[in-house]
Amino acid sequence: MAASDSNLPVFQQVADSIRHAIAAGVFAPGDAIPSVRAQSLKLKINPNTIQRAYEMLEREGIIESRRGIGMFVSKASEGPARASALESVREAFEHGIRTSIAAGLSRAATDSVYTKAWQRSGAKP
Amino acid sequence: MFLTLLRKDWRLAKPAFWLTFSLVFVPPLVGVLLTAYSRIFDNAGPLWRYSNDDHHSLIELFLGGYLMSGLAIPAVAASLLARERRERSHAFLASLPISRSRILASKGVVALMLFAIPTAIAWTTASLSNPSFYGNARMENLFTPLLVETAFFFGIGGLGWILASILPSEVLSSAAALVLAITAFFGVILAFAVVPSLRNIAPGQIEETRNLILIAIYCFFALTGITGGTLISCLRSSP
Amino acid sequence: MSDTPGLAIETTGLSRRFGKHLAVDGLNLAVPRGAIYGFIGLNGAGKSTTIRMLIGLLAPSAGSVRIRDTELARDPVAAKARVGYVPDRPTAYPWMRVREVLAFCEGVIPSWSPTLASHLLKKYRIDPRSRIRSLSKGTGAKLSLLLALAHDPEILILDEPTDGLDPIARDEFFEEVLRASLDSPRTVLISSHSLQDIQRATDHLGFLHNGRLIFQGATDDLLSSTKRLRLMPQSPIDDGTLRKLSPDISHIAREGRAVTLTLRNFTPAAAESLRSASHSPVFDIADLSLDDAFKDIVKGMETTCS
Repeated sequence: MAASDSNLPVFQQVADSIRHAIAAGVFAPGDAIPSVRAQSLKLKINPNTIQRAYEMLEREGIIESRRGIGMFVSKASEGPARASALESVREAFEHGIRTSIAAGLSRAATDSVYTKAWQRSGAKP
Repeated sequence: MFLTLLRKDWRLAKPAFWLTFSLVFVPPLVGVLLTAYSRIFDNAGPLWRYSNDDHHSLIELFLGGYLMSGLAIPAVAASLLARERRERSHAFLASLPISRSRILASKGVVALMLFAIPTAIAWTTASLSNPSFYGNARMENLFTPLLVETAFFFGIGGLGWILASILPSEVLSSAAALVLAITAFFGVILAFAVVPSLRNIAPGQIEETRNLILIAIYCFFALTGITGGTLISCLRSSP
Repeated sequence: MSDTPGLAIETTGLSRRFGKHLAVDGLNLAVPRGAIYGFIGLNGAGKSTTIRMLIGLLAPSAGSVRIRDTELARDPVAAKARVGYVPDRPTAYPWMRVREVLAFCEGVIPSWSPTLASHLLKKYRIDPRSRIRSLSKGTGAKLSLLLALAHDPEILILDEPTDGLDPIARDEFFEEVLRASLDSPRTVLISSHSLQDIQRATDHLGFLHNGRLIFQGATDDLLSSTKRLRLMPQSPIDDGTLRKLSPDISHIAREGRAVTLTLRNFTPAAAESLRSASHSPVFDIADLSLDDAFKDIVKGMETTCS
C-alpha cells in the first residue's frame, strides 16, 4: 500500500494507492472499496485522513458514495482516472525538465533521454 | 469505594505488618522454648509447671516483643506512602477520579489500625499482671516502661510516616526513622550522665524523670510525624 | 477564549519549574474534540511533565488546565472522570493480579463498566489470573489501555505508550487506540519523541521544544504550509541576505552551489519572489515529510535564538 517514507501528504498517498489498485484491476468499476473504518484500522491511519482521500477521489469522479451502503468504484471511473494519471505524469515531467535546465542540457538531449526511456520500457511506441 | 481503598492499603502494608506482628511473639516464644529446654535437660522441675515467676517473665517477654516490633513499625508506615511511589502506582492512583483526601484518609486509617494491634496485645498482656515495674492498664503507675514503649512505638511510626512522605524508598525511610528514634533514646540516657542539672536529681526520681522525658520526645515525634507526613503528602505534587 | 466550544483539552499559560529549570514554559495547548492529537518533542522537551499536569499528577507552577468545561484544579475528580490515562510503562499495582486490579477499579471508579472491561480483556487476550508484574511489555501496555478505557472516558491521554514495544506489538497497540477513537466519539492525545511512529494516526500535531510549543495545528496544514525550496543562485548569496528576503525561512542547507530553504507559510508567490531575488534561473519545490518539517523547524529555532 502507500509507501510511508514518501514525502507526499498522507491523504494523497492513500488516494494514490486506491487509484493504483483500480488501475491494476484490484477493484473493478462497481466494486465496493473498504470503508473508512476498515481502511483506517488496516493502515493505522487517521480516519479523517482516509475520509479526506475518499472525498478527493469522489470529487475526481473515481469513486462514488451510495448513501448508507458505502463507497464504490464509479462506473465511469476510467475518464477521471486517466485525467489524474496524466496530471501525475505532467508533474513528473516538469520536475525532469527543471533538472535538465539546471544541468544546462539542451532540449534535444532531454528529448533523446525521453525517447530512450520509452524504448527501454518495452511498451508500444 | 472507601472499603476498596482500605483493602488495597491493607494489602500494601501486609508484608511489613506481618513482620511487625511476628516480632511481638519472638521473645515470648524463645523464652518458652528455652525454659522447656532447661527443664528437660536440667531436670529443673516438671515441664508444665506455671508459677507466678513464669507468669511474670512471660509478660516481660511480651513487652520486650512489643519493643522489638517497634523496630519494624516504620516499615508499615513507609509501605503505605513510599511503596506506592517506588512502584509508581501513585501515578495510576492519581489518574483515577478519586480525591486525594480519600486516598490519604484510607492510608491513615490503615496505619492507625496496624499501629493499634501490637499496642493492644502489649497492653492486654500487661493488664494480666499485678501492678508492677511495667505498669498496667489500670494506670496505677503511669510513667512506666509500658508507656515509654507505647510512646516509642508511635513515635518511631510517626517518624516512618513523615520520612516516607519525603523519601522515595520504604527501606530508606524506615532505616532513617529507626536511626532517629534510637539516637533520641541514647541521647536522653547520655544526657542523664552528662548534663549537671539532670545528674542532681534525687536517685529515686531519676527513672521516672527519664521516662517522662522519653515519653515527651516520642509523643512529639508521633504527633509531628503523623500530621507533618499527612500534610506533606497532601501538598506535594503527587500523593 | 476559555469558553471556546469544541476543545477537549485546553491549557492557558501552563508552566512548570523544577528549581531553576523551566521544564514547561507558557503552554497554550488546544486539543479539539474528536481529534487524534500527536504531542511531539525530543526527549527532555517537557512532554511527560506536561502530561503529568494534564492528568493532575503534578501541580503547575503557573497556568491552568481545562478538561472540556471543567477546570482541573477546581474539580479534579470531575475532570479526571472524563480522562483515561495510559502511562509510558504500566503503573498499576505490580503485585496485584489482573482481575484484582479490575476489581479495585470497579470499586473506586463510579463510571467503571465491568462489561466493557471483560469485553476488552477478551479482545486483548489478557489472562485475568496473571500477575501484573509478570506481563510482557505488549500485554502490559494493552492492560494500561484497558484500564484507561473501561470507564468509557471522553478523552484518552497516552504518554509514549509504545516506547520499548516491538514493531508487531506497536502496530497492534495503535490499532486498538484507533479502534477506541472510532468506536465512540473520543479525543486522543498521544505523545511521542518519534514523529515517524505516530504521524499517520494523527490529524493534529503539537511540537514541543525546550518546554515551548513551536507548532500546533492540523497535520495537513503543517504539510501544505511547509515546503522545501531548492535554488541555484547565479552568484553566491549568504544566509543573512536570504533571511532578510523572507521571515518564513526556517532552515537553510547548502550543497555546492545549491541552496535548500525550508519555508513556512508557503505560497507559490513567495517562492517565486525568492527565486527572482536570489537570481536563480530555476527552482524546485519539494514536499517534506513531517519528520523533516519538525527537524527543520527545531533547527530554525536554534539558529534564530542563538
